[in-house]
Amino acid sequence: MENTQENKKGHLHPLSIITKDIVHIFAELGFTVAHGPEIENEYHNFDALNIPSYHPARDMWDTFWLKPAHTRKLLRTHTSPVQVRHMEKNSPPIRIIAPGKVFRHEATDATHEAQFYQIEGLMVDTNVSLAHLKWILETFFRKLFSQTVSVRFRPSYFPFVEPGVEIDMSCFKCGGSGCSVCKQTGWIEIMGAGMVHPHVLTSVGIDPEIYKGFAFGGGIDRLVLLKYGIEDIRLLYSGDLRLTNQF
Amino acid sequence: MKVSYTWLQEYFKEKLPPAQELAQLFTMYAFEVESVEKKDSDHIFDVKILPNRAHDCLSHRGIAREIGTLLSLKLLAEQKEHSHTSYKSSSCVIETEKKELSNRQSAAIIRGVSVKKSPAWLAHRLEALGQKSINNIVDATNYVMFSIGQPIHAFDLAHIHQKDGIYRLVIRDSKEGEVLEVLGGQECTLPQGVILISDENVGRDAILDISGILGSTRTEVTEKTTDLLILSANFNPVKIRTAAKKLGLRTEASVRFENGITTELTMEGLQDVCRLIVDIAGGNIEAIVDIQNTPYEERTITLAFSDIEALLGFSIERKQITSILRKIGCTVHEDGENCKVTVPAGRLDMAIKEDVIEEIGRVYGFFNVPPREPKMHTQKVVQSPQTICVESVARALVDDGFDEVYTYTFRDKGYVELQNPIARDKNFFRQTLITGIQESLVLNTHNALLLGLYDAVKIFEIGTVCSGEGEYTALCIGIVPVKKVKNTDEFIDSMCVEAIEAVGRALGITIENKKHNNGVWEINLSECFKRAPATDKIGHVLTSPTDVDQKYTVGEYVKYKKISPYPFMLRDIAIFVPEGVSDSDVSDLITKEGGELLVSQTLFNIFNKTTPDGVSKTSYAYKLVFQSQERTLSNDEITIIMQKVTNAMNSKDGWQVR
Repeated sequence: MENTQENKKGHLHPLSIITKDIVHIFAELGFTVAHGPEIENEYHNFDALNIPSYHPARDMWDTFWLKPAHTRKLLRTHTSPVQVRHMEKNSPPIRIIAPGKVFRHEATDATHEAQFYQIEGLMVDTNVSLAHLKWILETFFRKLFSQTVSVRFRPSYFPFVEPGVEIDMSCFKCGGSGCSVCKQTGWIEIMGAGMVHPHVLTSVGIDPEIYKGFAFGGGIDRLVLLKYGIEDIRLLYSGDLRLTNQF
Repeated sequence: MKVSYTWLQEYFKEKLPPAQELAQLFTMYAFEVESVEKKDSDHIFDVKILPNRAHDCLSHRGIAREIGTLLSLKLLAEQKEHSHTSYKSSSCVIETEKKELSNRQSAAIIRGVSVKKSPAWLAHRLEALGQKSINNIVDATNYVMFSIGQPIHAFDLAHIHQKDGIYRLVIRDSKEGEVLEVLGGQECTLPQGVILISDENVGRDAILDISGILGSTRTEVTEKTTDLLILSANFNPVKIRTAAKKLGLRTEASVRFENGITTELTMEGLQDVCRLIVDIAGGNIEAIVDIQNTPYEERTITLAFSDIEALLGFSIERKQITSILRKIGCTVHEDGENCKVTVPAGRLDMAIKEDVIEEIGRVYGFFNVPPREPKMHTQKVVQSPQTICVESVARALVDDGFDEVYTYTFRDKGYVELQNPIARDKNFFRQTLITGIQESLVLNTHNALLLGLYDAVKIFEIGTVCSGEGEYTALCIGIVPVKKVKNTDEFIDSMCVEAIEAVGRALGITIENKKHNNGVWEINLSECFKRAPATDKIGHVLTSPTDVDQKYTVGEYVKYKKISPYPFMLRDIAIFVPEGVSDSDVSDLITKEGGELLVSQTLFNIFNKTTPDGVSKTSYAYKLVFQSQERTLSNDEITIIMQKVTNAMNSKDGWQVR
């Protein structure tokens, strides 16, 4: 009697699939993966990123603080501290991405989680500009979603970049004509980015008069939900194979 | 911030574009517009003012100036002359105990006002923004705040004491435990370091308000009020932010102060509000005081024209650059290859040359940035060993039939405790993946048959945990048998050992610790990575990136199907078919006859048999799973479907359901 159940392969979780895609696409563009801790200190998560404690922009990140309070330890609210940690130990030219888990102290619902994954990117060199950022991101999204998507920049603000931009991707589903995925706008808001702020470069000992850099960051979960049409972010952390085994 | 279209229109002679068009203009060039709501004859925008523009754009005039820049329109109000005379009065003294508490304070005394309901236009203005109309005096101060961004407070002068014909107020830091009753009637106990104003003629405990945040009932303007002290100051942003956070009081005033506003506004705000009060409440301005602790200094930023192209990555004509900067309100001096830019007082965000370049790019339109391919480096790109190892371990486990799960980091036990957990039982950072894996095993065992897992549920997670030694990457695997086996322990043990050996092979190391607890096994992967041989020996190092364009193809697109909340039903069917009939022939027929309630079918058994009369037959056995997205299925309806499948099978020549 032959049992057809044997040699059956298992399944990767969709977050792992997309992360793998991201890592490989960026490797082809010369970006390698950098790592950083999930338990961070205030300096790397905020101060070194030009977000001093009194800065109103701190309100953009609802933070989980750790005990004891005087240690000022926290769960990283974004993957941006990995930029700082990498630049502290490495000199330009730099091309890294940092996928990783981040935490936000907020109420959870179908589109919000207190834990989720982000992808961070950083390129520092003597000649780096917003135009290069656009090429890199457009190339990335075309490989991840479809050859037809394009990227546009809108004004935004993050204390660790200047200029700061919001990244919209043209809708991969409808091609820009408007559908439920893009809320009839033809565009999907997908990342934040900008040119690394001179204060950030200075704080890690890189001369902003010689080097420039771009940085970007966005949610991997959101890419997963968008790409596969999953309706609830919480499903990703439910440990439920009815999700995993569809992939 | 709520912004009224009608109000914005008042700044311009020209007719503004329709509200929706204006919203689109903001979105592409300035800020996101969360919503545009039609309210009577007006449209109210909910504009998300970015933190760097909160200095100058938390006001209608700020937004109007932005429109002026983007549409090349001149503002009517900008043509109005403002008096720059400095005022001193012998009847009112406002001192700051420490210079850093307030950069500037402008104040006025108005006598003989009549406090009453606001005129309709004023009440409507505030109500359109979702603000409550209180009385003509308070509304006038709020109106000026929403108009130019300067918070202003009105005190009832009758409750401030005069000594030798002089009012003496002091702006000072609070001491811990000082108490006052704030507007609304609540008693508020202050921590140390909150800016407040006290009446020196009465004594230091005579607290008149929490400066820049909220007034007190002591000097509240009521219908009985006839004389006013109006204060328009520039309080220290950091101190206001700290105090507002500690007190849990976030007001329209505190938000504006904590973001920082120019000192140039205090006198303008004071004059605007005095004019308005006299107009709608009567009275005479008796005294005006203006004290500058930190004189305003113009900011001039020098940049090279080449800096602009270096940062943005494309060139903009010089003429256009200077024109954009002038539209923003900058004074521009071209000096050979350089450009000296003096920024408008309100633009506290423009401090370094990158800020100026951002403004040029923004007004030019960031969407116009062209994509440019960066130069590729020729040296080899060496991927992080950890990334290669994690990918390799996951692949090995998937190849061995394991399914991957992600579970939650927050647990009720661990080494690292949160100060502010989201729930009482989620107060620790996980110290192990085991809890999550166990919960996942329970959940998935219920659904094993739906998932087509007939032997065992086999799962794994790779994730960060934190033990006594600190943070590391852990791997946990979990196995629960589904089918009945003679020796469960042996069954689990052999699967476990096989998986552990697969992990070891993937990393090129031997894993000694194979001790599992009833099919659950965890290991410190970070430790394993250290022992793994140099990654190039595993053979995953990436070579030159320049020519690898099409090397990697992304994961196949999968259309996710919503998980049904209703129970599933399982049926087996086995059939003899003539030799040569393939399983896909059988499977196609099942799909066709099973209909939309059939969610999966798994071939679980095949064998060939030759009957005594010499005929060779093949037996295929399938497990069919039925489930609806809308309801619980009944036994009867599945029996009917199964009958349909059986009939269709039996009607084929040589096919026979067993």
